[in-house]
Amino acid sequence: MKGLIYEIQRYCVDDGPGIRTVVFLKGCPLRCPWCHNPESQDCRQEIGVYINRCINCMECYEACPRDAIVFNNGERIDREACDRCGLCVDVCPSRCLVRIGRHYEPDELLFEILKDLPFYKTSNGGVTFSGGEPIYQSEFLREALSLCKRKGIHTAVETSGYAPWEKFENIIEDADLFLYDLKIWDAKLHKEVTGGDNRIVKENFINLFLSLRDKSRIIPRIPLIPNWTLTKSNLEGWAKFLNELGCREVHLLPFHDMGESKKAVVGIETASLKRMALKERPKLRAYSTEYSYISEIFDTNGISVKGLREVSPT
Amino acid sequence: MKYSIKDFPRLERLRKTMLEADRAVCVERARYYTEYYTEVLPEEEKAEGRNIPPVLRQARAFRHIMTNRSVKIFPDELIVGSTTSKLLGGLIFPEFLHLAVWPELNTISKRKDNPFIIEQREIDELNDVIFPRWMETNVLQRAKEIWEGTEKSEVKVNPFNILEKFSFYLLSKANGISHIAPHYAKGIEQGFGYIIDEAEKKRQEARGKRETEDFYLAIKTIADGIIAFANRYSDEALRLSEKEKESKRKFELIKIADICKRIPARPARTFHEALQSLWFIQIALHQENYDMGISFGRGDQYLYPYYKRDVEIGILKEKDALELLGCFWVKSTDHVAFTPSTGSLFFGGTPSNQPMTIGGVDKNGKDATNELTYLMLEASAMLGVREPNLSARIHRDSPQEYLLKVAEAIKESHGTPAVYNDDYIIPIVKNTIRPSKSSPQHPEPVEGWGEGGGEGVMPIEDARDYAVIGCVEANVHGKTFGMTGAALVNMVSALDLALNDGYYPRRMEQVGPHTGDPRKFKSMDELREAYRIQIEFLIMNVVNGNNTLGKAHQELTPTPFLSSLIDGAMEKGMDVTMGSAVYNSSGVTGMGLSDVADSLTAIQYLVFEGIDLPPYGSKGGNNKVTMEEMLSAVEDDFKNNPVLHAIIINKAPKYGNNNPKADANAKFVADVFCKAVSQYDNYRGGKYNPGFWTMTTHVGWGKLGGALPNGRKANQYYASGVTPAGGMDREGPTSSLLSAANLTTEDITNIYAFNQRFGVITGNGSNNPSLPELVEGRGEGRGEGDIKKLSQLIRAYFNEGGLQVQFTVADAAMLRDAQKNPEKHRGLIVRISGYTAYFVDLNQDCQSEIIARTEHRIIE
Repeated sequence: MKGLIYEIQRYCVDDGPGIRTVVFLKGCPLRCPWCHNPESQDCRQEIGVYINRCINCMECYEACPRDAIVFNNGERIDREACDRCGLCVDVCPSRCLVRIGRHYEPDELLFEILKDLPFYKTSNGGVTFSGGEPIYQSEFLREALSLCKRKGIHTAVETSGYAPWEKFENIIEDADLFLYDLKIWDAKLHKEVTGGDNRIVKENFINLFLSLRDKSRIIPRIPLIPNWTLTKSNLEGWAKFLNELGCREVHLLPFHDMGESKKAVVGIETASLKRMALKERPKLRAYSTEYSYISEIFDTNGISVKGLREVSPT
Repeated sequence: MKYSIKDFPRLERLRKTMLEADRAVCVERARYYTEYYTEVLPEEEKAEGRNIPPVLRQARAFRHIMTNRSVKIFPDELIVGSTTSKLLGGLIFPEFLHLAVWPELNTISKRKDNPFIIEQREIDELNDVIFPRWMETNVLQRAKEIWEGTEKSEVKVNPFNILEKFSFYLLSKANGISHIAPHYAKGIEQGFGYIIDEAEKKRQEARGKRETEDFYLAIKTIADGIIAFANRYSDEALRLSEKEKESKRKFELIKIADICKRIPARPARTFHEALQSLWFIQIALHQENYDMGISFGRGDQYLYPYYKRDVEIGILKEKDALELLGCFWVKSTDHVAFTPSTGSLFFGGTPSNQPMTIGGVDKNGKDATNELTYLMLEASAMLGVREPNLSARIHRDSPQEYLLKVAEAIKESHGTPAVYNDDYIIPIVKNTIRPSKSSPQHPEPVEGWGEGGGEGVMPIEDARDYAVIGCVEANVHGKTFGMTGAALVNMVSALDLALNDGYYPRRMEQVGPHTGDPRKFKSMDELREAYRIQIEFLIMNVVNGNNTLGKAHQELTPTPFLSSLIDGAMEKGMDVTMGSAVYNSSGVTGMGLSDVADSLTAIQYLVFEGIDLPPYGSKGGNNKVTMEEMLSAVEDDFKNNPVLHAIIINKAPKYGNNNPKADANAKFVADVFCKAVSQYDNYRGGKYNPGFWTMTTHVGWGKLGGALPNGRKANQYYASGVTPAGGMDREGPTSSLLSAANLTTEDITNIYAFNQRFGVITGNGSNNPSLPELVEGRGEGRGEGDIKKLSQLIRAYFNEGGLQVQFTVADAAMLRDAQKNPEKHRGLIVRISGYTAYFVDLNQDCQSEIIARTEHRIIE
């Protein structure tokens, strides 16, 4: 079966050990406002618009059978009228219009992954499947993982944990490492902000953690999002949860708003993240004093933190 | 890094003074050289009753310079001696290139790029005395006369006519001898006193053979010259010490006086003496030979015995050794190549470019790194000065610690060292000579071996002892007269000729042979063949030109000082320009590999095949572009066909993405060039070696060139070395490196330069300014992890066959800031194509080329 992939990125150094190729699978059930890859959310192919590349050649306008090309400020596609046939992309000479998402056979994908084998070898690196939520294409994922495994390539899966447990079970043997996102501890707020039920996330984490004999095969990761995940109570919630489970390591991920600019590419309304982020920036800069509680929380629970730079108090 | 420059106040001061110094022209070398020829030589000839032979008069001119030019010791210096009479100066070689600056003398102090201070009396002296003497007897002029006089039954073209059209190739022998790594260790270990004795002994043995005797006399003369020079420094140090109030400095000056009294006449005993001897030798080489690419060889090998002994007997501590190295490092930047204004386009950053090779394997194939290897890396990272051009050899068993130190130095210094792959380069070095039909190993002639003089088969021990020369080239150091930068060829001009039936549109004349109207070509093969013929044509002229210049050198400007330090010359009693070195070769480098390759690819897929590409617009309705359409778009710089331009840029495959189709054309371009070059033998009986590195000719020639089918617009820079065109390698650094590794064959005997630019390695690519301060990546500690991964990246690239790579670690924002506020970034070094330069010394075009290089990021 084919998988829908929207990007293959090479020489990634923060998605598991060594030098890695990251395969981004398309489609995610969550709608986190801080999403770094908004083009990953929709589970179908999309047309992306990079408006600053347009050379006004009008080829797309002439090619579109549904009159969905518009020349309003900053937009090029009437998303209501567009049926994503992609004829406009075919004729666009300037990569202003691009197709987001391409179907790959597992062995076709393996070919792409194998290109960087020399680099995996010298760095003990490998491939990381990310998303979107890669577990949603778990059949394809299982096949791709097992092909990689047969070639001796280290495999990692980055997941939000928001997927039916059966789908996890399906890939558990073929993934060497799970990089597992934990976001908002409070169930109500989680639902409100991301649209998903965090009980599923927690249950899956427990199940996965308990079923892996080698506990180093799973690493929980918390993105530090001001107001939502970067609060004392939220981090305390997760720290206790991990402590009780016996999980001794957590990775903290930096907050950035790089996803914001990409929202326009796929026509997603920009949420209030930008405004919020701007407001919080000065605080973040003063991290060493303002957020000094972070290490303390995890220390108290006997969990080692990776990802924090030691900032000398200023 | 273990040390910081803060630990060395002396080095901090020396570095600052040198970085802030203004470049100034020095006329002394030119003055005394000219004075010898106009005033002394006629007297000598009268007295001796004969014409003094070239090698002897060159030796005497050298001695005249060394006994007359000024000697200066600057504050804080431990390594003394200046290449010029100025703190930071440019030498003048009136017998070579520098006649070209004659018309610019009044403007060079005011020119925008690379201005040089010159005083009115210096201008007057050059105008009235020096330059007129050389108008008619310079090397280029003599070469033209020789060419006129030769039998030209088959070849009708004059290579110097094409040279003067400027767009096709440069012949650097017109500037003098350069790009060579002499046997410094001989001078340091044996001393020039020994060389005098040796020469005298051999002269006696050769009694009666006038020419040979004269050669040995010349050797004795140059040895006298360098010894006299050192003695004068000894006297100066003594004089200063007497005036010096401060006791510590007084003691230093007395020590310097002692050292200069001893070396380079006698063998060096200590690390300090060895470094000082090395520096005097380098100064001497630069009085005789053009200051571009005179290479230090394997410094960490030949200096190590001195370091080791001093440490063992307790007279040298690591930190003091580093300070001495630091003094040497700063001192080696005391001169810049003085070029006419076009030179700053073609050789931006006015390098002298003296590579110091470190690491690699020894003659027995074992790892050669030692404590000095690490100290040299430390010195380069700590000081961040442009010289010496540190070049790190890496082999399959190089220690992990060494790889990490190399990566760390690259990160700290923004771009040094460049790294070289022993496992592939050593077999290539063996291939830089053409096996002779018979050799000690093969006494009987072997079928298929070269017709040329031949040089036998190189023992593996020699090949393992290669040093990096000039930009990236590799020669057996001390044994090779390699002139690896003999010619730079604009391969794009050959494509222009092929696309215009030999006609060169920018000069509106027929230059190359007729290869047919490309509009009538039926297949890619026809275009490829036309290109091949044009390359062959250019190379034939390059070879004719270079060989003729070589003969002019033999007649006018033999190089006795250099000969004293190249194995073979003393044994044969003959100057190295005559072919007496153990190995004799010449290097030719091709510019424009990726531009030609991508142009061919664009034509292949748009004009001939049309596969894998969407319909060419809805207007045309068909899959193909006609050759006519392509050529006229190129001709008017894509002004009337922006759609075709966008298609080429965005949809045609490009070299540098590990795309087999695009890389195949790059390989074709490399192969054609290599075959064309390596078929020829030079005037010394050696082989021509092809390679791909460009200094900044890719900017200079780019400025002159029209648009290309790869979408590059008119007057823009080309890509450097074998680097993919800026922004066209979109698949990340691994793919880019693999494309370059795919090019490697044992025919690229003059090696290649591959540039990669990384954004600042510790940056995280986010536009959120709080992040670098807040979070240090994931996984392992950020800084350390990056260095490790950089070393793993290099390791994998080398496993796949990559020959060389050099990194510039600076993001676009930093470089733009340096453009705006040069004073804030005085010491920012960047990688050009083989050498390092201060970014702020580059002209705007060269700066823009570096900013436009694909910026690889570490992706989160």
